[in-house]
Amino acid sequence: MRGEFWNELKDIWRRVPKIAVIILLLLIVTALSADFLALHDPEIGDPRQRLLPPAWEETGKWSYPLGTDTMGRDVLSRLIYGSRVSLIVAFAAVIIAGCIGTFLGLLAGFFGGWVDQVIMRFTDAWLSIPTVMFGVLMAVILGPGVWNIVIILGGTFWSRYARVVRGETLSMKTRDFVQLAKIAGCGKARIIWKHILPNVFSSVITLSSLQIGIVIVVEASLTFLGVGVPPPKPAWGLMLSEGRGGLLAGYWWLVIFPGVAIAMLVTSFNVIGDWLRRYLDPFYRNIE
Amino acid sequence: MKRYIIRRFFLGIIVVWIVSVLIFGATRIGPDPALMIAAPGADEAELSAIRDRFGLNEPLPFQYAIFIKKAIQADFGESVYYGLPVAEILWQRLPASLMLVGAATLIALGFGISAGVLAARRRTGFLNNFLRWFSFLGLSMPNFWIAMLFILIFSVKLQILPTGGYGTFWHLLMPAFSLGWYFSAGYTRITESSLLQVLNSEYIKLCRVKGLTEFAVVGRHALKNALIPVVTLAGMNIVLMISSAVAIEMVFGWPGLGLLMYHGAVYRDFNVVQAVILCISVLMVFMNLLVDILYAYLDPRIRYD
Amino acid sequence: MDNNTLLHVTGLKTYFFSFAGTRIVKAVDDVSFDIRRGDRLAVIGESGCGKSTVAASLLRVLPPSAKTVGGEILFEGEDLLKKSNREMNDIRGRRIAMILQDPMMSLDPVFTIGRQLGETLERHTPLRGESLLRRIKELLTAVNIQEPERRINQWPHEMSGGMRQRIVGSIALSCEPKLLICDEATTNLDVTLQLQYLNLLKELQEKTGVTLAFITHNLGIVAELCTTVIVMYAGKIVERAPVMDVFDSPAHPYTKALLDAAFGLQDTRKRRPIPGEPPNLANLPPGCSFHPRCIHADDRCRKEEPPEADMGPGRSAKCWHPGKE
Repeated sequence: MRGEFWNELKDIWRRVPKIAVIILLLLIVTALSADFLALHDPEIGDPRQRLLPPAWEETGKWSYPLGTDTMGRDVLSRLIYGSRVSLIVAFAAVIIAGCIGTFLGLLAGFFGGWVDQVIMRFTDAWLSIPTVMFGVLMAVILGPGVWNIVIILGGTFWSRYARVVRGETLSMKTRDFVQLAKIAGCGKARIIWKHILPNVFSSVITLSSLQIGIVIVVEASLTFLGVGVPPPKPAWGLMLSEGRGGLLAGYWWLVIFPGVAIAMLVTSFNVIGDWLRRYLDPFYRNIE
Repeated sequence: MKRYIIRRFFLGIIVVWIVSVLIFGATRIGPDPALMIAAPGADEAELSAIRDRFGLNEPLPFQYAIFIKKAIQADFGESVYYGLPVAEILWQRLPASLMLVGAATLIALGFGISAGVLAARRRTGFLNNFLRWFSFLGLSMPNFWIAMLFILIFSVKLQILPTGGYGTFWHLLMPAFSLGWYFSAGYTRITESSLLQVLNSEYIKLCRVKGLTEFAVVGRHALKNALIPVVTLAGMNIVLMISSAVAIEMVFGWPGLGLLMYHGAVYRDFNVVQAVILCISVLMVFMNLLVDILYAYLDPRIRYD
Repeated sequence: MDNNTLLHVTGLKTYFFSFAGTRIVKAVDDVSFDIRRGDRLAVIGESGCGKSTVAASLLRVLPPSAKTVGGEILFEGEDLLKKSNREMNDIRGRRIAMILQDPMMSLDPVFTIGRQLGETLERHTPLRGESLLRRIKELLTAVNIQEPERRINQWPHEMSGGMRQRIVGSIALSCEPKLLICDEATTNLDVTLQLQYLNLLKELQEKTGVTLAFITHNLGIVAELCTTVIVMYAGKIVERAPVMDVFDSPAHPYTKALLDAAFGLQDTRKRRPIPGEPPNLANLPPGCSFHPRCIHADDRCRKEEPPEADMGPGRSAKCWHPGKE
């Protein structure tokens, strides 16, 4: 009776991520085929076509469907190329953060004792540092650039992984199969690699899907603040920061479209992550 | 419980120490700090003057020792840009930050708790779906974009709110809402899940069976139990909000710690930046501890353990 | 209906509706019974047979997915199903009280014992201040709680399971209800506590004259305490009888199977579980719901639902072969 009730709920929930998955796949395809999709060069504008509104407005042109910015660059083309920047930065940063965090979490959880103490205090320290502010500081010190942003975000977001993986490793250590492997004389590295890592992997994936949305937003924030992806690269955060100047003059299309793009990408990651957390990961209680 | 708090306090001190090393180290791993402080194109004489003035010729550990010794006495040095002691500037900016964070917290809690209660009481229907999507949107939109949308709607189109600045209640509205929206989603989710758990409990059933009115059952018994995790989350979020507000403060020109820190970074005023980040990290560490104590105070089951 | 009948239930139907309304689970299907004043009634059956749903239907405290779709519940001549929610709140705890099954979880962890007792009294009686306090102490003493002054300000987690259960009992009896429903009230207590608790209830009944209804699967309680027995299977009442008759000569094969499973003629070697699975309420077999597990089942049992066979004064069984050995 209860089981059926939940099955129905699940069926309804399963319908939601499908929309998110489709949006996400569309955005990935867009990023991959930007060279074919974009009508104009994203970085070089046409000075004669400055500040055109979207095509459906009175003075808009269909060759610039979402209008142009102050430098006469096509907003749609910049959006299309911008998806590349967002996705590359987000995926690369999450992979770096995941690797660092998983490695440290495994060490802390498996060896315990002072190793655990040292690693966990470092993790606490990273968790207490304000992410955006520290990001701004580091970006100013390292200088602008896509890969610097990746390094900064990867180096900031590992702490949650370390916490979750450590917790999972601790509970894995008491499981029978790990104990058996120990008795059978497996080396420590082998136990971690072959027995523990595969079992914490699903949590790492779930956590990644939840973190990636935050990473995208933080990247956009840093870029918006002028310390992230440098101009003239077509990044969504940069488009917003450039659009901010025209806000009061009413050039709304420079502000609306990049924001919608970010919101769509992040929403689909969040929805998928939420779904993963609820239904795929039996240990989701550790991830909040 | 007392021993636990003392232990946590000392762990907190260690964490604060690590944070201070990290922040100090961060400003030293880049290129020569003197180069970053100096105006572009400065010659060697100017650079060495700067090194002398900021003690950059000393060995690093010695520099760190001085930094931490002064920091403990709430002396964060002098701001290059403002020409004032950093601590003084921090105090000047704190009220604006607190006002923004306070208002945003009220908004986030007010919306989050009522949406969470609604979601837990009615699992289906239009309103519930609407609230669910409203929360998801809050989590997905960068807060500075929300801020710009508000300006577009309320300042440019409707012309009812000022585009930025600080001073009156009307100046506070848009910054507080754009900061609060994101955080309301967390409160909605945690209120919903903890209230659902509580509403399915035996003691709530007993309250119903006792003949208490629905208002007393939900308002008195269920909420008091369900809000314990919400209150603890709010403690952490208040600190998080100060740092999340950087971009919002920039959009509205709101003179809080976020804007101070941002200008500090842009103008290479590293003493200011270090101080802001360090203070917020320390706040975070001790808010963690405070929240634990608060938890014990609110939940009698923990108080006696 | 004479004045001696406290509760008169006819044709009660409570169904659970699935999320999209596509599936209906008939948790209580056409149930009728009477409780006379001063009775100690037992409702027995396996888990999931609908006995707790009957109790929740009486007090109208069903979960949101359940709804009472038919029948009549006459309590002292008033139809509870026609009452407004507000009127029901005045009846709950005041005239009909209930004890829930889990003593560890029945008290609100963030309110003191005194608060939780006093709250019920404030809701239903004019007692306030000093007199309220006096009454709370009286109630705690009545359920053998020592040092009531100190206990009033304690939290639930500071008390043992047995004490909590007695406090839950004192809350239930605080407003001197006419009917007290105990929903599996002793399931989670150990055996000595169970016995103590049951004796306490019996004693309190003698003092206050409250009518008791036990919902249980513990046949020990039934034998020890009750006067009348109702046996439920798959949402229906399959047998009703005075307690001695049930134990001496069970009429329904299910009752017999229950007794065999519990006592096995006092011989553990003969004790045997009921064969087969408890029925799935969402998908009941045609005919008599019990036929797949019944040793006497024949073609008629598989096709037609049996009527209620009258078995003498106060006895009936819903079976085609009542009393067959």
